[in-house]
Amino acid sequence: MTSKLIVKVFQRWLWIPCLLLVWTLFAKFVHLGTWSFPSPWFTFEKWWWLFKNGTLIKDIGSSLFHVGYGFTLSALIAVSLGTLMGWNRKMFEYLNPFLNLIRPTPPAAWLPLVVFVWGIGLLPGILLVIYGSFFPILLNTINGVQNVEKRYVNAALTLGLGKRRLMCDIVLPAAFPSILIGLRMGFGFAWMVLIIAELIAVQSGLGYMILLSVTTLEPESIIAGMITIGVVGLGLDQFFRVLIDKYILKWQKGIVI
Amino acid sequence: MAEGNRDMTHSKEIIRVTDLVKSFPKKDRGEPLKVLDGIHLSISEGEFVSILGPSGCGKSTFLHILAGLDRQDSGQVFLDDKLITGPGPDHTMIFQDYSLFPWMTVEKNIELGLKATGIQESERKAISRNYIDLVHLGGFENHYPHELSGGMKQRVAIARGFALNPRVLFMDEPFGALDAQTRVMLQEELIRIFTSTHKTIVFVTHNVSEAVFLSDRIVVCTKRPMQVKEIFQVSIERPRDRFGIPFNEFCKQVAQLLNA
Amino acid sequence: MGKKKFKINRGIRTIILFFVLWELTSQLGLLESFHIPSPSTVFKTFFLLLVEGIHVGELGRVTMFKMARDSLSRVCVGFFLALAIGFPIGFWMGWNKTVKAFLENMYTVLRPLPPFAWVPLSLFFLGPGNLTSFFVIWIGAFFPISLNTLSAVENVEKRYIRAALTLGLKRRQLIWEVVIPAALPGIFTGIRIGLGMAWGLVVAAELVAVKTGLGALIWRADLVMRPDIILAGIIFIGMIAYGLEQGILWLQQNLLRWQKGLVI
Repeated sequence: MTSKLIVKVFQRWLWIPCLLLVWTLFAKFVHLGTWSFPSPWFTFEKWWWLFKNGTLIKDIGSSLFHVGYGFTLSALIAVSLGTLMGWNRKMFEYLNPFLNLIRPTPPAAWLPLVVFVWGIGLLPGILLVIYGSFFPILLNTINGVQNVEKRYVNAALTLGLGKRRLMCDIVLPAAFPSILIGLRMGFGFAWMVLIIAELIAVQSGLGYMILLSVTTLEPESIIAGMITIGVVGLGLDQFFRVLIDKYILKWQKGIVI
Repeated sequence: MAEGNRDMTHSKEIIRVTDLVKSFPKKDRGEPLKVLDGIHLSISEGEFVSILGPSGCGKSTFLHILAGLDRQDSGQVFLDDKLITGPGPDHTMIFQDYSLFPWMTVEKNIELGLKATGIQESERKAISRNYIDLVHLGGFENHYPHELSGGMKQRVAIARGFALNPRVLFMDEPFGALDAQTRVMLQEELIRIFTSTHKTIVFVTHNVSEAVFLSDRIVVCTKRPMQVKEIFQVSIERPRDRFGIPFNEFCKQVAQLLNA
Repeated sequence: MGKKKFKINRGIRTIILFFVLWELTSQLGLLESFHIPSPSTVFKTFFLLLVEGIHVGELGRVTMFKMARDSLSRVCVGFFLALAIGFPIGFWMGWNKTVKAFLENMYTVLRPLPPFAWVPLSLFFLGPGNLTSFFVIWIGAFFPISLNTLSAVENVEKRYIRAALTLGLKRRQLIWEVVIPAALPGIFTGIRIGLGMAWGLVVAAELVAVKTGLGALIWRADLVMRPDIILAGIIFIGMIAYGLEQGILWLQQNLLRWQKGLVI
């Protein structure tokens, strides 16, 4: 029995030493130009140094601020609009084709325009985050609202619920799992888009930091920054995942009415 | 064209099952669930044998083991004196859900198994056309499964199985998903094909009249854990009259034993 | 039939309303402070770019098609590389549980890193230019393709495998005639997402790291203060994005015509 457990633990965490090994070997043998690929140890050292002198914290803070601001705004607009469009067939028909025209355009394409109008700084980052996260949230909200089972709505109407109660107590809760999924997806895009914006048009944050490290010729910082970006992004995504598990699982247990 | 009761005593034994045991490990309580409790069976070449038992008794598991799609805990299965260790075209199975490949036409579905044995394309086409006609699906060669009704899909599955020219054909409640009328129709088709091809068939069902209509022998099974309760020899001449008295008397006998 | 026509009209009305409002506010001078040109100017520039080409600063005289061709060829290289590596790996992981267990944790590490975050590293070691763009596109498309292939192969219904085995299929036939066709819908989803990412990334990469292509065009247009070119470029980028998406969907619908009746 214990041998099986050991194998399992082994399988789960084996990638860490393997990855470090591959990385160290890569660092030893890869030379591009005059620079060799930074080794894990120097990278971690650099990471710790950045952390200790506060610059990393500052950059993380900037990025979190940008993404939080943009994402919250986007979520508010997208959920409201999505509920409206999901509920009201007319509104859907009015707005959906127009939105569908805009949707395929990649977020990065809007950057030059945003920079042209508002210049480099905070705003391009936030605006792009809003654009990037908007559509996943919107589409999943519409989907969630549209798919609220008719029988729940009918039951509520039979009980004499007014429109507001209907919305707040029946429709939105029923659509909530879908909305949560959309929020998680939207956040993933928000983080992705944020990095693009910071790299190009915003003068602060983790994206900017790793770009700067190119010009200051510090490859260890680049990787240290990348790891931070990945970890923070993953951590926030896990937050959504926990929320989803909690809410959707809680529901599914009792969903057979 | 009455097919007389075939005398099986001189036919070669084609399948031998000795002391088959199987348990499923239970996840929650840890105590394994015994499904097959020592099954012995002998089947002769050219026989139509039904495995009859209540739902959930393990007859499907039994058939899967015979076909090599599942593994037993102990005991052996012999096909022509050779151990069955895995699935294969000479002991192929037909499933209740047809399991036709939806991305292939009727013809391609039937040809697929033939392709595996290395038969050339022209010959494959000829064989598949032959079996398509046999199941009366001429004209539907290039249709996709989703364009066919349930009964037609099962006929394709039957054609696919027979086209392999197997030593034995296993059928796992093949008509279970069909409505009563289609079911009766397909039973009659199956008997027709059986008598013209002389294939050995092992057929699982929980329907008494189906078993009596189709089989030479009926193996009646107990509830889980499954054992052989009794084996009936069906001596009514074919074609069998479902509404006739001997048929119904026989059904009563079998049903009584099944429910005992 | 009359009802359907009515429905289309509603959406079109909104779009027309949008353009009319835009034109109006522009003509009234309300958009001056934002420096946003009118739709008529943008469309004029759009067609000019298509037909004759416009001189855009350092780029010289460029046409939309030439720029698009540059971007698309980069996407081709990066995307097909991602397909060539991602599809077999995804398949293998879906097919073989040990391989999956081994590789999936590496995936968990690398996947949450946004593809564009690789740009500085690759700029440092591969330098600005096409190599960086190939790499970033490759990374962006690799994960959707391999993960969707993995999931598609894993979720091939067991009954198809069972039926194939009982018909006597050996491994090669099993994979090519049963598993891959059964997994094709999921694989296509991965391709569609991967292609979308690839296109988005090439445009972004061209804003920073490369000198030609549609992304470079709209970035230069910003530098030479030509918002009409920026908007014309954005429209064209969006059109290509739409076309690519629809193209894959069309391909999927035609290759997988049997999917219509998948509810067997």
